[in-house]
Amino acid sequence: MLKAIWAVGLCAISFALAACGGGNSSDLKKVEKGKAITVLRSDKSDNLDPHSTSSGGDVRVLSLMYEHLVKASVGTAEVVWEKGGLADDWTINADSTVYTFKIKKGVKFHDGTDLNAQAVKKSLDRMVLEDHPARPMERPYRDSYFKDVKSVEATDDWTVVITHKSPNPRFLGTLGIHSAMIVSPKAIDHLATLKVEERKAWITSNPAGTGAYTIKTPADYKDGTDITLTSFAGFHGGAPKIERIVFQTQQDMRTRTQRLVAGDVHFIDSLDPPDWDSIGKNPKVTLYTWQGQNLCYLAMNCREEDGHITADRNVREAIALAINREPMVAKFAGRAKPQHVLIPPTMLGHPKGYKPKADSLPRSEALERARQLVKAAGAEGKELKMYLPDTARPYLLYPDEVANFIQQQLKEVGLTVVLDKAPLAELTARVNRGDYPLVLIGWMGDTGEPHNFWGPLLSGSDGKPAGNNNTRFFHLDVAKKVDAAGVETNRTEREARYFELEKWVHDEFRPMVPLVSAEQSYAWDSKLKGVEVDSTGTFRFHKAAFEE
Amino acid sequence: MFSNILRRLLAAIPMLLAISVASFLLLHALPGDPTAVLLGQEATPEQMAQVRQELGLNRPLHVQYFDFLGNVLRGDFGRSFFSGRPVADELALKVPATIELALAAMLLASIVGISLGVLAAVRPRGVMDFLCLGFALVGVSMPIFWLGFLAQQALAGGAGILPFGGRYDTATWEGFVPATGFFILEAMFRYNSVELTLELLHHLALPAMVLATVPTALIARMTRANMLEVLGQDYIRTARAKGLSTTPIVMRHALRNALIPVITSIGTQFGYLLGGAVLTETIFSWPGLGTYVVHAVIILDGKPLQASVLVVATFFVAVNLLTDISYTLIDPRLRHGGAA
Repeated sequence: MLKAIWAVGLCAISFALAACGGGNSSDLKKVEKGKAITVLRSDKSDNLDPHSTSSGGDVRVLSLMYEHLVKASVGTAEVVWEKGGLADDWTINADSTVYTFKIKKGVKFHDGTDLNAQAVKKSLDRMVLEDHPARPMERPYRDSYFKDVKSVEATDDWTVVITHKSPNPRFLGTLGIHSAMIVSPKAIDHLATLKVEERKAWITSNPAGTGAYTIKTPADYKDGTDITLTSFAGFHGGAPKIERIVFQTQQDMRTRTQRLVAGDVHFIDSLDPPDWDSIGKNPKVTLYTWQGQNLCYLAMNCREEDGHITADRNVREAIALAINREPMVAKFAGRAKPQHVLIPPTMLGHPKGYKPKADSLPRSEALERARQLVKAAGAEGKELKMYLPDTARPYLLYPDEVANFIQQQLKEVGLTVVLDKAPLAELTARVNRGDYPLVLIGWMGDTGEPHNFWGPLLSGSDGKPAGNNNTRFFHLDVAKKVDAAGVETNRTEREARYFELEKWVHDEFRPMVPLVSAEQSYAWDSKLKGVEVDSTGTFRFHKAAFEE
Repeated sequence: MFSNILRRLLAAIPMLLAISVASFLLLHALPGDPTAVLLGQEATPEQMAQVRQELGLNRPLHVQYFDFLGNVLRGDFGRSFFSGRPVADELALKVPATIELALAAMLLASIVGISLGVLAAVRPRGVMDFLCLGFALVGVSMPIFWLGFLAQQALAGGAGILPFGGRYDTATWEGFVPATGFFILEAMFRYNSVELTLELLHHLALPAMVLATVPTALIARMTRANMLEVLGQDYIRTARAKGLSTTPIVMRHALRNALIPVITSIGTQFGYLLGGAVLTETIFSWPGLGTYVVHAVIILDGKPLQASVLVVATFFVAVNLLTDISYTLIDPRLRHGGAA
């Protein structure tokens, strides 16, 4: 009797599973050794719509699936935009208002569509046009990068002409950011048929780029922490030798390193700086480090309407005076540089050696002055809610520790900081609601241009701050000067304009406290050869293979 | 017996309705305008008004509730504001992962806990009793994140016996597209792959062991206490006097009677574990309900939160119901209408 019940039960399970759909048993196979790799990283990828994300975790995955018209240099400290992307060639007119691109032939999207000038236009229009029928819910990069584009025209099958309303000498860099990745026209047409709130989910699990890898079936995107990419046989650069790449998430830095050394995974990011020396000597591991074009900073909400005490310039000054960067640099084991300005040290527009006046005071004097300012502003004992990301970022490897340093330091001057940890994807919405007086966050440059920092972080347009401007600071004259510096075609003059902005904005308005600029790191199995890391820190595997 | 089961089933209905009301109101208690979250910062007031209309947010609360209830009964929990995906699809992946882990942990905890409890009770104040009580104390006291970390270091990092985490090595297996989220059942019955089944069990072992620690300790203590009480009763003395050896006395006469409160404890523990073992899931990268709920709480994603509360509470009610039913199978007095 019992045996009969058991047999019926097993049959019922088999029948029920078969009725549920899913894959076939004949499709199941073990991937050949050396053909698959696991990437274990600190963050996740919740939004794989290149036109709407602003998260580095998303961009790392997107970079394997989508391509740009231009390509970032490899092996240079400064970011240089070169040929080798989806444009074979380009010309720029004398005042940098008209860019003409010759599109590469013989390139296919993952969905089988051919790349041509019309496809490029359709993709770029999704960022450029205000009321695009397939627009995503949010386009945080649109205001800062694409709003001055007057038109994108396909003048023939292989030529795209992009015209600007005003000179834009930095536009090649703009075309190198993820928001300018080229998406298949077929996918864009499909997105237009969906409700705006359904678009992100669809394109996240149905990518359609021209890159070496893709998400083969929607089931391969389980969630932001478990994504399987499969090589794209029709890739114009030749079929990759690594056939499968699995992206997984492990927030603990030490565990990531331990799993790499144990051979459990093949590529990791953001190693703990105190481990770098020992890891660098391990023959099983290739360590890659570089001074990142990044900034970790404390944004202070300047908007009167949001009703925070940080709208008072004196309170912001007090906070800046109270912050001591030394313990933060020590926590990074010296692999981070203290920052007093917006632009990181390796970039054009960084005023070497300059510090705002307040940052030059001796510590005891600075604290005393900060206490006086807090008292005078009536802010003594007031609570300030501070956002911090729930996962480590390359510029903020230790969010909890750095937040605790700030909490302690502000306590010394009479301010109580309440920490509020949340996913980065939530930040923009919360900042727009005016939730936070303080935001502990950072920025990674991806164009190599100072405007890539000034535009999104401390400027805006139409009288309102840009999408990623967490300080909510908007000053018309500053915005005009940022725009003027951005269109300056003479490099020396451009640099001088950015110097001037640094000196003016921090002393006069104090919208943020720059904290540190960190060195970044990747490490991978030393048998894995041909991994490409470009000057923006983007890694690619299309030329990689295991060698004994 | 059947009327007893039916009575308990009927009693569960008002409980489930109350849960549905609570989870429905939860969404309305969350701060922020859901239309603004849905449409993003570029939305115009007209678009927001249209979506409010589409979602029925302009209608009276009780009408919205009955709509919600109807949708839930059809398996439609709405769409996550954050990921944009249907919540039912997300839960279909997360819930089975948690059930698989919780079942494995409870199975382990029940076998080890009851065995330890019995061994300890048979020779009170003996070496086994001392070891059992010591294990129970450590098991209950040790923070799970610390234990998980130590277990990972020892068995995955140091010895390399078990994997660090995850449900299986996704890089290695191609074409495994489970439809239900019950990976082990899928590997066994749909894919008929012994190798994949073993790999799934291999990955399940460490998180299940860590998750089983607290329930094992509690079950062991409870079994020991109940066994000591039962072993001191007259009918056991009579059995000994009749010359029965220890094994049949313990297994046939004492254990069965001592198990009823233990089963209640197992049921309650299992209910808790189905709510998601957040720390274990986080340490071992186990993509279950616990981490999903915590994520939804952090980002105030209303629909997943609402659905998760409903699902977890329903699980709890169901597990309690099954526990009650199991009494009738174990205790003949309940089966025949007697009193316990």
